[in-house]
Amino acid sequence: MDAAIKLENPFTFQVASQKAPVVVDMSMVDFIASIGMRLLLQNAKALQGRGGRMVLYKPVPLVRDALRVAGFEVLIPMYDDFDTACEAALAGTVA
Amino acid sequence: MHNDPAELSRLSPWLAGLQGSRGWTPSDLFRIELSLSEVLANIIENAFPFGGIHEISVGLEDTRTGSSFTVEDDGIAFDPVSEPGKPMSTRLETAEIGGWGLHLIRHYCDRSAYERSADRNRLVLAFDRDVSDGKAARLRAHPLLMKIPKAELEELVGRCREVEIAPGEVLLAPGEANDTLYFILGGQLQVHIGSRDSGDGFAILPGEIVGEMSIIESKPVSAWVIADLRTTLLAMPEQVFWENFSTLPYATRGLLQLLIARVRKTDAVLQGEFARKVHYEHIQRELSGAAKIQANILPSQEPLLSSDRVRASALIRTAREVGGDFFDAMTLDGHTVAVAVGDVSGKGMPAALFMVRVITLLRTSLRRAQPLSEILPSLNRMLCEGNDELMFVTLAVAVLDTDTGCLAYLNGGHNPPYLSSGGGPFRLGEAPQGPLLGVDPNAVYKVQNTVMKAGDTLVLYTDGVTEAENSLKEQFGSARTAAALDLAGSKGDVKALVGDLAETVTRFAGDAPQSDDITVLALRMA
Repeated sequence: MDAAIKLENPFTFQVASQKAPVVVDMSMVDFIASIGMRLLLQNAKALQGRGGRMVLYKPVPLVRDALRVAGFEVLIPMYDDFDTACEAALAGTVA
Repeated sequence: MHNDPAELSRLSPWLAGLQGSRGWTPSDLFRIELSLSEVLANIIENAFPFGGIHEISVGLEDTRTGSSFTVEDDGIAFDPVSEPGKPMSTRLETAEIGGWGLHLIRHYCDRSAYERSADRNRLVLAFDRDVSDGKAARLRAHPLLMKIPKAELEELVGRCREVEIAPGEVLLAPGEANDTLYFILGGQLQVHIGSRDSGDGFAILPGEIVGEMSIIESKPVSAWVIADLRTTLLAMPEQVFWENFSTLPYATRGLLQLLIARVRKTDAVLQGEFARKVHYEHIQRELSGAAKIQANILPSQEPLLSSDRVRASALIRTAREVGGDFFDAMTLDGHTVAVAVGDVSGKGMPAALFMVRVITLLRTSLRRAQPLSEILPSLNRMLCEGNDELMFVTLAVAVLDTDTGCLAYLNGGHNPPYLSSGGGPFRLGEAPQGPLLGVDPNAVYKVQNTVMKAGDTLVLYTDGVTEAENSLKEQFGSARTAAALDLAGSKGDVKALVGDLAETVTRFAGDAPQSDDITVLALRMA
């Protein structure tokens, strides 16, 4: 919970200032709740608005399940393979 | 804890401290922390609209099957247990931030109960120990299955299949035979009424069923059912439904309740459809009626005036919807003519009827040979009377004595005219002060007098000309109007002048849609 609050501004700054595809490395994230989901979704939407695309890389099974239940699977794609994740992010980006 | 978002960070260490003594697996801890943080965040955010510091208590109880948490607060009443689920968007552009809390709680929590008493909310969330894959929990969360005793439920489920389909996968297609009843355990399906891409339809959420119609009626499937999200279903074969399920005491009542809710939902969709269609037809009829009125009341015969001392021509290019512009041209007697251009506010029937009133009253005033200085004031007073819909009109009127060339110009809030002397360049004339008509019954209007000589041209128009926009949002403007008139004026007669200006405006606007009527009227002394 704390982490999400601490993370918010640096994360948003990184993502929001880019136009490029974004691959979010979720492999070290062992918990997610509303705050974290909000952060991801807001930034994914903002990024899309500027022609970019966000994908998630290697979310741990519990987190992946939670994201699925929250309906994120069709909004922010998730991949376990880094190369596939990068390809997907690039493919979805408007140059 | 109290209702401060910062307090939420106390949850994690508290639960972590209890994990060992309660024997929670990492999965258990995740579920519990997620569910509780959702509930608490929701309370902090929504339960206290009037602010203030409030206490929220979280208590832990050990149960026979696991752990149970009780969350109490004194905020406004909110029952997350009975709150209906909201369908989730499948596109990032339209996805709403938030709204997934209830889905998460329902998915992860084995049992929940809500109670409101003594102005306090009391929510109990129970987590059982044996849910390593969550399957039993999801089954028990389904309203049709939750009251079935454990042993019978196990037997029933043993005769069914659990199915998972990916987003976009078709579960049922119209015309197919179907012999399976599906219980939605997680995810989301979408029913598409009509075609596969039809926007008409509704979502089916966890806790509902699909396929019951084709089983009960033994008729083919009637609509597309496609997964919006990854969806887990319990697939119950027809035979199992009739032999095992329908004989259970709570099953048929629950089923009937679901069917009734479904009928209501479909009904609402159809009613909405019907209402939209009727409304649309009504609007179309009104607009075409208004357009007919406009077409009928305006002079259509050329030449507009029967004098040979003066020539007049006019045209209106209407926008897609009736925009309220009009013009008029009258021969009042052997040596007097009058022309007018105006713009009524609003569209549709009320505007068209108001226009009729304006034109009729103007014609009557002019034919009665009222003193010119009285024309606009009395017209204005009459329009202000009984003007419930607060319509108004801008109006420019020119009355010309064809013997002397004396021109009286009347203006009610309208654009100033263009004038050309003897074929020279067009310049903007000065319009006398006077507000638009229909608003202030005491408004004062002045008359401007000039003289027109042979070869002089007066051009009246509406702001559909000067304010015409192209796709770069540039306006046509007065400079371009003068230039277009100069270019056209030297060539031919008034009809060509009017036509050329309208054409130039239309070409300028290009692909941008025409938002207002374009009206031009030209008067030239021969």
